[in-house]
Amino acid sequence: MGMQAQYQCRYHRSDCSNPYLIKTSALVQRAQIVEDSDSRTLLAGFGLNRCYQLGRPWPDRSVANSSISMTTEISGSVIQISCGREHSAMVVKQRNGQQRVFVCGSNAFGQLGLARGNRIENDIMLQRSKLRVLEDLDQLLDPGELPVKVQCGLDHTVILTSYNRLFAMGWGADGQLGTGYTADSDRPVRVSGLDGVPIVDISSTTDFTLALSADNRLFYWGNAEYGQCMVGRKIDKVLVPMQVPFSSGRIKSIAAGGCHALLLTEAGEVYACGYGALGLGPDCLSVLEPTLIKGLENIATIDASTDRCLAIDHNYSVYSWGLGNSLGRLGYGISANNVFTPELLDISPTLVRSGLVALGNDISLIAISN
Amino acid sequence: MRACTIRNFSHNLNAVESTLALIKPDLLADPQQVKTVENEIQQRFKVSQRKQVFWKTEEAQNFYQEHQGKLFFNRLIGYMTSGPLIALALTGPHVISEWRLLMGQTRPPQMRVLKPETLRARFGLTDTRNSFHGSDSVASARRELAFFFGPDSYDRFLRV
Repeated sequence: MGMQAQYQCRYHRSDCSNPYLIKTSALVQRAQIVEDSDSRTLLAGFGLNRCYQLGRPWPDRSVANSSISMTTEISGSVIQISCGREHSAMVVKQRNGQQRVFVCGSNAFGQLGLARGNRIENDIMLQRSKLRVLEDLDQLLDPGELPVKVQCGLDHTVILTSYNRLFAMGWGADGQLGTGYTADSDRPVRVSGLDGVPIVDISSTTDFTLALSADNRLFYWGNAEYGQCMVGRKIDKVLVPMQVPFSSGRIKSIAAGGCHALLLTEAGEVYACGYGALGLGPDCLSVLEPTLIKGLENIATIDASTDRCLAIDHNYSVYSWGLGNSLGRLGYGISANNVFTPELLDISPTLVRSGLVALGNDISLIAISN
Repeated sequence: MRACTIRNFSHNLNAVESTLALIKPDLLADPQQVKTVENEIQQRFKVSQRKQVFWKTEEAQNFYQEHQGKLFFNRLIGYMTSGPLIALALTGPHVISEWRLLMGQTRPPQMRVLKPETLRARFGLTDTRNSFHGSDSVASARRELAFFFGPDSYDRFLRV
């Protein structure tokens, strides 16, 4: 890859006038942006669309498998959106005021919560769906209970409701569904072991989930092979939510990566745990307990993807670090393979709108103010 | 005496083998990446045969029967039956170890640190979704090639 291409990997302005909320996906070089106006909501997506993960079939069959850019119209406004490896999920507030989860993309593991097609045919095209309502969730919710946040792992989905309950669907081989079992589920099932725990936030991008309660307790389930579960040891798989003790302050937000987890405290400090370019330097690739990342202060926002991390401070300075920067994914315009300590990105703080950041595996988005 | 030694040595150096290379379902989600990888493979190895398949559960279980009972067995089967995959028969001197060198070891995150030039470092996603497979010995290659390309396919590829 030549220098020109490397440089081009640095920043690109996306042609989207009013990105309302954004989240990028993993692996498949895909991103989705929501544009909201009085008359309609447009879901703008670019990247791969083999399983309609951008929302709908692309009319031209000859490019159906290639990277494309297109929009899908949604009736209602999108509250929040998340992208997995080959699927997407979003919380939509419909015109009648009802709030529902919409899903699209691959259902090969049941990650859309739809009954899986007949596997005897063994055709990937039978295991996909364009954007549709996750109807099975409605039957599981109590009267007045609404979905408020959805998180896509690579091949599973977790949903948080206004009654602080959690539902999950999709791949369960590493305990991703938190049900106590390793079976997949092609309909939403209740995450177990959290009765009476008022969960207020969730984070998942790969094969494990972090959940935070109103009383600031932290929970973990899913793959923990690299010790990213923050309890001082590696665990093959955590099948039901496990409480993680944390004594270095009150947790403000959580970010689940692939082999690593990030915690942001009210004091603006960032803690990392697990394996990879954790931000702890090239000599510290693996820690089994949350460890303070030196050099990051006054942080307001954190994000993680399978191999990468991002932090924005209260002055809107953006820091990025992680593994696998060979295509310039970390945003420096250079192709250094791995970046082991947080590096300040060369993007003007006056442009950065805090909170509107979406870190993916192959692509990342930051919403900037005009 | 000296010539004899050299001849034996070079004979070993040129031991022609065949191996099975798999491009796994996660990579097939992106046809562009598959094209990149297959081009690289064709530049370095002779591809004797190529086949795209979509495994049923029993087929995956048969292929990975040596791993039966291991902790990762079920997730491996679930992943390998989640989409189509490409099987390649590669033939050439020391192709079994050459392919494994290019592919890298099992865990992509560790390969990104230790061997960033390997295929798994560049394309692999997680330990399960590690994009590639390669036979680990002549005996495995014989069995695995037979699985995809019929009995005696190993010897057939060497003859052609």
